[in-house]
Amino acid sequence: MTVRNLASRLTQLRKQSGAKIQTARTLAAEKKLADKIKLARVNSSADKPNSCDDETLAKLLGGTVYQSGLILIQQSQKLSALHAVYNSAFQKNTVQLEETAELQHLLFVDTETSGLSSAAGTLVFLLGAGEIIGDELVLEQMLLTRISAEPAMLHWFNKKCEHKTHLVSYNGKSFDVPLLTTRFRMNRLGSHLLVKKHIDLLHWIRRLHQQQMADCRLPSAEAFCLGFHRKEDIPGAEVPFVWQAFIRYGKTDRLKAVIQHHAWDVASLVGLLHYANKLMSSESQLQYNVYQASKYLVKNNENEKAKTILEQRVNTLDTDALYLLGEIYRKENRWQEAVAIWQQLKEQGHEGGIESLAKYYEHKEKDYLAAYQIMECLNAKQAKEQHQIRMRRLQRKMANAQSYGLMHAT
Amino acid sequence: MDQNLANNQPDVDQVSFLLAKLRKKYAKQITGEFVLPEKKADLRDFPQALDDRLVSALKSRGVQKLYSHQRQAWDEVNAGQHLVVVTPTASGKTLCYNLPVVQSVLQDRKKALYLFPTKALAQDQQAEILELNKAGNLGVKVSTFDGDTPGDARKAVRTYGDIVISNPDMLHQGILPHHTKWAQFFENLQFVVIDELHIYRGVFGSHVANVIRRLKRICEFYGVRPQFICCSATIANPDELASQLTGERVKAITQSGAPQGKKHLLFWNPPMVNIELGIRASARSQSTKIARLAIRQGLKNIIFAQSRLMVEVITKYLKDVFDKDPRKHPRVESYRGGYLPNQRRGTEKKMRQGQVDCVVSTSALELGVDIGSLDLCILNGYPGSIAGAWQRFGRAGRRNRTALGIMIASSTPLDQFVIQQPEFFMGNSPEHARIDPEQLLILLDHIRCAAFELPFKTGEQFGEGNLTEFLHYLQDEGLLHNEADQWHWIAEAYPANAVSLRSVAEGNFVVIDTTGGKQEIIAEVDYHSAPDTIYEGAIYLIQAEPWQVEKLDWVGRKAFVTKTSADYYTDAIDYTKLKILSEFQQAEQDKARVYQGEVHIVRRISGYKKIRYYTHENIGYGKVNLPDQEMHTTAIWWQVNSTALHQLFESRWQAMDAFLGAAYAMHHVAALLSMTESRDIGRAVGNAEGTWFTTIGDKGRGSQKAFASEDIIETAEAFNPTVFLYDNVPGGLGISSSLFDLRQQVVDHACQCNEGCPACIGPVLHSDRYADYSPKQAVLNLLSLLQQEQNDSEKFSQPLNATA
Repeated sequence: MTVRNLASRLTQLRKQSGAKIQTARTLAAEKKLADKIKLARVNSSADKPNSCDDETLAKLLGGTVYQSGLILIQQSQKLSALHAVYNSAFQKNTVQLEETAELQHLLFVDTETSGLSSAAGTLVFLLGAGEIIGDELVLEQMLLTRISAEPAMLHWFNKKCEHKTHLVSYNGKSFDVPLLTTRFRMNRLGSHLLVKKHIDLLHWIRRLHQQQMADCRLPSAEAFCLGFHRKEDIPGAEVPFVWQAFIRYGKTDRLKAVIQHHAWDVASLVGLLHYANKLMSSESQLQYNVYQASKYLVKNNENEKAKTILEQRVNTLDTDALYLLGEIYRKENRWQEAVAIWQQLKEQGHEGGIESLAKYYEHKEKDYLAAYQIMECLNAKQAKEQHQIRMRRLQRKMANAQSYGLMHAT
Repeated sequence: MDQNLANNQPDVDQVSFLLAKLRKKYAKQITGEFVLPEKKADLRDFPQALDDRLVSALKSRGVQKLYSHQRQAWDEVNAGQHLVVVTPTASGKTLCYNLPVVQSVLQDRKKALYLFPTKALAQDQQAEILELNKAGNLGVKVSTFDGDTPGDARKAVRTYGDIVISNPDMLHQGILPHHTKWAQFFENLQFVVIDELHIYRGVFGSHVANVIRRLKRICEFYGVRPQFICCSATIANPDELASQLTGERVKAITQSGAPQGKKHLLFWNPPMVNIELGIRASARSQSTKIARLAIRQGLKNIIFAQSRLMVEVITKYLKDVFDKDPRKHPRVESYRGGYLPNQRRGTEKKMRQGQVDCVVSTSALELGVDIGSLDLCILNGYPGSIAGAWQRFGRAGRRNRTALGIMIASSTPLDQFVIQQPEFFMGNSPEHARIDPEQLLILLDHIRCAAFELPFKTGEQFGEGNLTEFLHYLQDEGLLHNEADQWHWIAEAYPANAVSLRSVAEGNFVVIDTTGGKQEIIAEVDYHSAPDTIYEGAIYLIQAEPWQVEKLDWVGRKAFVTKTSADYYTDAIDYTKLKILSEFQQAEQDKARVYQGEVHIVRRISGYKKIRYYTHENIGYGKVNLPDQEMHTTAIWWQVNSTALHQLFESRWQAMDAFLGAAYAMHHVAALLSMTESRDIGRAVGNAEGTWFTTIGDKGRGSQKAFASEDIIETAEAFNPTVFLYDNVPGGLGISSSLFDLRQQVVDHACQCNEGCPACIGPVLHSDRYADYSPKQAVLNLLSLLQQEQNDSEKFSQPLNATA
């Protein structure tokens, strides 16, 4: 059986088994004229596989040939010039999120990949490592032009990690780091990756802004937090195809856009780290965000962290945040502290707080009258079915207690 | 586990009582009765080397000695053998692998991967090892890993699991593509256990053999060569199947040392309702009758039906009797593939707890899923294989108590053949399980998945074919990139997600319930069964509840259904056209030629019949407008010498009657001989050019039709009717070539049944019996033409059908 024979046979059988086979040709039939021409060129003899040599490509992308199969693009930028939001650099050269870290010991990491899973068949073809040196971001991007150079790229990256304490990424905990770990394993190389501490900014942006942002993708976070809007950015979904077209046919025309896209990604890590750090430091706090962040932490069973954030700011908390702290105390059976908060909330007319106080008297103190009075006061303000149900139950309980002579003398 | 403890006999009276009643009242229906006697245990000592902790764990669970096959398995495994253990249901098979595996965990901290065909079986096995663990405080970390394993538990399983219990689908989609996350596991992997091996045959088996190839490739990457221990129900070629599946030389252990409880088997042929035409009552009517008796008598029972539709119909009939009151717990439940998992788990649990008296199931429950002990097992029709029948009978009386199994024949030739000659069932060695790991589409699927998992190196082997050709094909598809001597996966896709191990199809359909404006997925239907089951107007049944298909989005692979209260079900009407493309081999006979080769098949569903429940009358038709289903596959076909044909038949329609009847009979015999499900083989009658085909005309006669117009035509061209039997899978599955080797038996066996009943030539001719013309005789005459004459003296020296 010749190759052509097997191929046409396979295509035929696959169609019969329900496959929707999209070849370059069938695609071309569906697409617009401009795309048609582009795709037709894919098959023309002008684009021979790997027709582009590293030297030429390096020149085109403004980088240098690191070694055969790898192009290194280096650039430094003043932090102050990165995003409009910077009016000053990081204050003390440290960040304090879930970790305390020195700026110079952070490595900002981002990858561009051939696919979206972190399984064995996904390749990292563009690997970015950013460092803060003085008041500058020094960014190095390593582009893979031959897959056989992957071990060298990983080796380079491992060296970059070596003297850093923390990685900073956007969704790196669930994507970039597992994927890089896979690549190290596939090449039978050891890595420092897994022993590094990791600040994943996606988690922080979620905590702070999940309610306000339509989605938490990096470009959205940039726009919302940093007021930065990319110009003529290539959509992330197209990136894998640009690299495929390059590796298969030597097509280089959109590689530059991918490099720029990736550089923006890394730069934004610095911007968002600064933003989150600033927001969470005690000097400038936004009530809403403290509440949202702690609520997020509570939801994820990180009560201790939430408590720390709330307690640090206990005198300036709004009622919702205060209520949240009360709930944490309640779960810890720290009744004294909880009651103090609920009393305070009652004075401020916070519905949830008042109800909690009533529940406390009903179930803990068994002081039904006190509970009833609290509910009465609440229901007068805001008549609700659920309040009335509770009041009726309290009445019943009072009646029962009286008949047994257990009523508190009030 | 309580294998050496004396089992207190529960009341056998109820079973014997029912048996006596059946014998007395329905003696005519019982064509055979067998008693499987009690068997004593053959016990051996624990091996010297067995870890003390394990010994005491076993002893504390009541195991004082091993059965002979368990001891033999231990010895062979320690000698480094790959193994397949073939012993009956409930013979303590699991200890055959649990002993060496747990030993290696305790002594060398080695790891093992267990594969079961279903999640439910995996759960059972986990529970069993956990109990052993607890009994001996062994500290063996055992865990299931499947689609139900929560995300945060997965990492722990990968890192710390000593024994990981999974299924081929999970291995295929969830483990192999993520092998780097399993590095620690693979580096220490010593055993791969494959239980229920006989399930892996046909399409599924061919897929799984390729998944194992991928597994071995990954193991090699991590520098290990695991030992395979397999277990299987009784089949004729366990070592061959195991060797094909694992790609290793595997030794079989077939002598069981376990004791057995007494079991009665009844062979049951439904009564004749029309002696003239030889029409029997349906198997369904008998199954429901016996089930009703058994349920009333308090016996827990299971009914196995051959199709999902039959499951639903029987369930409905029994529910109409026993579950009239919606406030009470249902006493009858159905169980089949296509239900959502939690629905199935629910039924399993209710069976175990004894809340349900009767479960009606397809082969989905055939496997060792624990549903507690049952008294009675009814097979509504022969399951198509002896191993399948034994496996299902094994459902009754798992715990050493007297049990009853009843096999009820349908009117198909295969069933009639088996039911009238029970010794065939009891005597013959059962089926050969066959797989074809080289099936082109299946192989391609797994080369794709394997390339994703680890780049192929030029010169590497995967299967027997020329891998390089496949790699070039995938490169042209844009999936692979060849650099130096490596083939890298560069596409964005995750190929395992698109490959289902159960079919050779790429586009499953989802069934969406739109009743009351909702949009809820209630079932999935694979590509090949979609045209027959979810055409617009079809009644689609789930738990005997009817849904009507309102709209079928063929391109989007979606069927929109709404709840209905229809009192009928629907049955598709299909036409098949076949064209010969090339001949691989042929054999010349006296009056006929037999060919094997490649064919092109076009199938069209033109409409459907509406059939009312209970009366089974035809109450209407509907038109179906679906694209034709095309398939290239391999086939075997028979053509008769035209002189002989003209001598034998007066008219064309008589000849066509005979060809249709013969095709029907040959189809079923072929399924029996090649030991495949009859749905894996397709049949057609037409001419070799594909210009016409025959079907049953309005008056019940064979007639010639052109496919395109569906009009009846009388062609002027040469009349050369052909019987085709083909592999019902695009690309074929190697069935027709094995049939070519058995070609004499295919036509020889066809009318071995005593009465020569119309069942053997199919129901198509029931109404067509008049004057001095007998369609059965026509078929027998034709079949004799298709046979190779032994010698000249026999030629036409006797009537054409001595056997009937």
